Amino acid sequence: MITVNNLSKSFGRKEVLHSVNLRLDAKVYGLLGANGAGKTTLIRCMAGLYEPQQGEVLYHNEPIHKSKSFHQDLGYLPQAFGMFRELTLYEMMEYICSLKGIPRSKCTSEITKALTSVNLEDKAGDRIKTLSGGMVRRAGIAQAILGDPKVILLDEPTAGLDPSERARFKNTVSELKQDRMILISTHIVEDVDACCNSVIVIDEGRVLFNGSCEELRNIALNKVYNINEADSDRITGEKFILKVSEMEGKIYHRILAKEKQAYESEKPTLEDGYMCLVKGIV
Amino acid sequence: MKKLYQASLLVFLRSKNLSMPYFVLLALTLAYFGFCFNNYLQYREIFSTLIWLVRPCIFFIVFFIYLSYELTIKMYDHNMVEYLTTYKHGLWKTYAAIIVCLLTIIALPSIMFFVFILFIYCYIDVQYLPFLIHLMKLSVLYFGLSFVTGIMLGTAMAAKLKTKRLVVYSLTVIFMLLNTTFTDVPFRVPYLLFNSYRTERMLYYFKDFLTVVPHELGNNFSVVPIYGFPMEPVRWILAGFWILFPLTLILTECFNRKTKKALMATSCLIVLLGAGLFSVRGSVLLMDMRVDSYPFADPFYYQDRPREDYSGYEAGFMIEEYKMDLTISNELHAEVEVTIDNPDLDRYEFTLYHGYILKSVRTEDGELPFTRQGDYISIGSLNGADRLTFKYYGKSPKYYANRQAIALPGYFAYYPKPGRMNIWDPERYGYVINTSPNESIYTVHIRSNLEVFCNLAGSDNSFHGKSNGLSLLAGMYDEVAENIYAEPVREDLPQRAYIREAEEILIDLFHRLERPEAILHFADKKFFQVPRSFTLNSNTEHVVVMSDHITADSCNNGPELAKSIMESILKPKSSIRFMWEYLDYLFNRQDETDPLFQNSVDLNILLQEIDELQFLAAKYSDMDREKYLNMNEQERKAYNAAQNRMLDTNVKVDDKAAKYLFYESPRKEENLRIFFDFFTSESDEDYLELVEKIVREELEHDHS
Amino acid sequence: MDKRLSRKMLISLMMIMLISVLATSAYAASQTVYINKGDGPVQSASISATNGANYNGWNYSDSEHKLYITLQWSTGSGWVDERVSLMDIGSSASGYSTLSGTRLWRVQLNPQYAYSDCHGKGTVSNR
Repeated sequence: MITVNNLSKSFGRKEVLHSVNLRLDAKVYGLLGANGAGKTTLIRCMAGLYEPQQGEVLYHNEPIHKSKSFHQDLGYLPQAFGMFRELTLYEMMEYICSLKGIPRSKCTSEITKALTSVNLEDKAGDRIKTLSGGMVRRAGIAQAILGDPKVILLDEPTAGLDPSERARFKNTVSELKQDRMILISTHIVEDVDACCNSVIVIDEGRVLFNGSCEELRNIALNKVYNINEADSDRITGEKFILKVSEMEGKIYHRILAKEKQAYESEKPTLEDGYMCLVKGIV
Repeated sequence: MKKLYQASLLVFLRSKNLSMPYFVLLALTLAYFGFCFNNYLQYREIFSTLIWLVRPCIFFIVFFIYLSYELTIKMYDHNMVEYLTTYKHGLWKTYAAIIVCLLTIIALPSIMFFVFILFIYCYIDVQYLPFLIHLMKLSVLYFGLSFVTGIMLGTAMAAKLKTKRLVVYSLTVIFMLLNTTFTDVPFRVPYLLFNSYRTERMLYYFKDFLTVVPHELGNNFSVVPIYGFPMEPVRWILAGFWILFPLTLILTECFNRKTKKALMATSCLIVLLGAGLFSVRGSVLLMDMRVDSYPFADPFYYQDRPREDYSGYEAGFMIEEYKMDLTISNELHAEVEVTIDNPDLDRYEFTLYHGYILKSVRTEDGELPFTRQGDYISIGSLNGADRLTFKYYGKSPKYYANRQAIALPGYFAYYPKPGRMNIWDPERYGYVINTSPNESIYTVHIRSNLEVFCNLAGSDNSFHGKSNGLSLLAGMYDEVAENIYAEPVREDLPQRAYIREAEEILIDLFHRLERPEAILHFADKKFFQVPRSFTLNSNTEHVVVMSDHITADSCNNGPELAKSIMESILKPKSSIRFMWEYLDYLFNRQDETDPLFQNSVDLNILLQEIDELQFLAAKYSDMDREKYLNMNEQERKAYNAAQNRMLDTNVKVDDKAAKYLFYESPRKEENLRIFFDFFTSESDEDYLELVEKIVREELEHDHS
Repeated sequence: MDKRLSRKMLISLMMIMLISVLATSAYAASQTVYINKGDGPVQSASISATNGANYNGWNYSDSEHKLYITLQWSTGSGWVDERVSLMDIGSSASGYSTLSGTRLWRVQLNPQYAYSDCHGKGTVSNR
């Protein structure tokens, strides 16, 4: 569906993306990376907002800026999202319908569907300025999914959402994922775990991993140890303390170790796999 | 698109910081119309009222910049641009909706102005179509396109400068100040620093380019009906520029890649085209304090140059015939063929105002070499040819000729005149009336979009006839009565009865002065009422009587016209004030309520004062600036005191002498005659000497 | 009470004086204004005239720059420049306007280039 070929993007002297290659099909992708890793730049390049210095983004094998259907098929939620505060949510959605070229006859049903998906149907008549930050974020998701787009790019969609809203978001993604390519950029690993079929890990503008969640988890297989603080020094080889926790008055370290240790390894999580990648413990 | 427009309008209406001031502005506008209408009722000066109407225009524009910027910037304030850009033409559609919404917003005040202007037109009942068209154009340019410029600038600043409010509002303030007379002071600084007008010219060029309301705030000069408000083609081009240029800037934000590059190229092209067309704007009306302006260009030019007096200069030849082919577009383009009566001279001198650039001088045999020195053209021998063709183009800051109006009086050297003549008289502070004592035959063809009125007979801008000067007038100008031409919008239209009355008064007066040979017959001549601004910077143009026509700045009644004509005959010599006093008594217009009339003049005191004045004048006769600067502090104080004393005494002497000689004296009729001869002679005698002589004679006569 | 009365009388007197000063200045036959070194543009008091107005101006020799003299008439809430002259140092200017109708007239003296080093005088009078 979307192919990213040898994509490089710089801002001044700073190269933010280095020859990124990706092929994305009708699945839900999680784009994981630390702050400043290049997630937003990549997503903006894919949305056609940035022009890369090198490489291209293809939609159905056609460069996006030449594609006639790309903009029609794209739903995009930026990292920072807002709307005319003076309009009601419904008016704003109508505004977006108009911009997206959704036929007037379909507008009402599309808006209702999108707002129901994000649980904002009862706020349709409220002015944007009366909505909370989380609601505006959800309205942003509604804006992105309005018109049934085939490609949905969501940049940090769960930022600012409370746990119940995040759960709701997962359901929304589940409902949407049929025949669509959804790319969710986040640094919250749990969100990816809950919603995505595939994960792309990006660090310092380079793609470190592109595969399934299971594959990412497996990277940390036999590398995760939960051991007593006192035993921490006995870990041999390259290691990384992932988490420090307290249980029954004792302090435990969750450690990623490159070499096989004498202790019993833990079942890895997606975060473990991600950290192994990022910290070079592979 | 309708939805987008409606939503934009809703955003505007629901934004209290935008809609509230807007509705307050509308209410204030209505109140302001009341003020303007009241002003009209009080003064009955339509252009004065219209100036009041135009005056706040820049505030409207600035307000619309604010509205459009604040409305557009909401997109950026609320982080909408990023996702709007991902929709197909999303950002462009949003901008388009905002611009259409803003156009609706400005439409209301524009219509209000339009309706008010129409109402005023109907109310004054002048029924003059060109004036109605002028008002319509005024509405479109000043209250339509200038408002559109405001919204385009505001929107473009939002698109380009985003949320940098400080920069936006600073630029807006600069823009506003450039559209006021505020610049009069800072624009003088370059001259102070570099002693050169070039920088000032450049600054004004820049200012003119940014001037969207030509009659700027703070400008006290009046608008003359023949010209109306400046609306030359360059103003429309500028209005177009200030709409199109911001539009291309906005569009560059909305499109990517190739389109963006094409738009950038278009925008550069528009700038180049705008600046290019602006730089060849030609003759435009510049009513401000700059050195190139209507009121000051010539006084500056001639004051700062050494003056040679050409009065009494003999050219040695006359021009028998003029064949003129004039094209009046943005300025005057002329091809003038002259037939001279004496082809055998070694040297020919002509006067042509320095603003006209001479391209060539030809005879039938080919081009002739010439030298140009200011207003003067020198040509060598003509090798027997008696016809010369001058090809030139250019403009005068005062005597304009463009697509909006033409004001070229016959006494001004806008076409080659034989010999050397002064254009400006610094002593009288006015233009020299250069009319030939002999008539020439004129054949004139004028290519102009205007209907030109001329002192010669003809139609369709082609004229033929004999005169000693060719006057051309066009614009909001018409034949208001038979052979009387004037600006129909003016309240004080001339009447043939006034002209006849003036002639009768003058005939009586010349008989009274026993100078019947001086009698002028002008009652049946064509009468051209010239714009009142002709006398704005000139003391000499109130009335000019030429061989076949008269030009006058006003003609309120017969006696006033007669007085002005008499003044045009007299030469004021060293005392213009005394001449005015003379005219007041001659026309029995003295103010008898003046305290001077409470007592009779003491002739001995008068003589003492004359003596004192002459003594002081002699003492400081060779005084100049250099000498003054070389004086020490004490000498300067003494000189300043003497100067003050001289001025005060001079006024007193003028008042008393005039009152005695022309009012109290038993020989007042004779005195009037003596001074008529004095003021019409070429004599250089000081008027005070004559006053003293007559007073002494009368005193002696009384004693004996 | 007496005090209050006397204060009222004083105010009334001052008002009468003010009005009469204003009225006299408006209906005076001529008005003169002086510009001294250190002054920016100065205006004379206005006179009322029906047949236009005369003006005279002097730019004294001790002025450092040229001086503009402007004859202006009132539009009720602003002034229109009717005649302008630029006076060289040590020279004078005079002129008149024949603009009819009852109007208020005044002269303004304005040093060239916004200097404040001119010394001069301007007079406006009835025609």
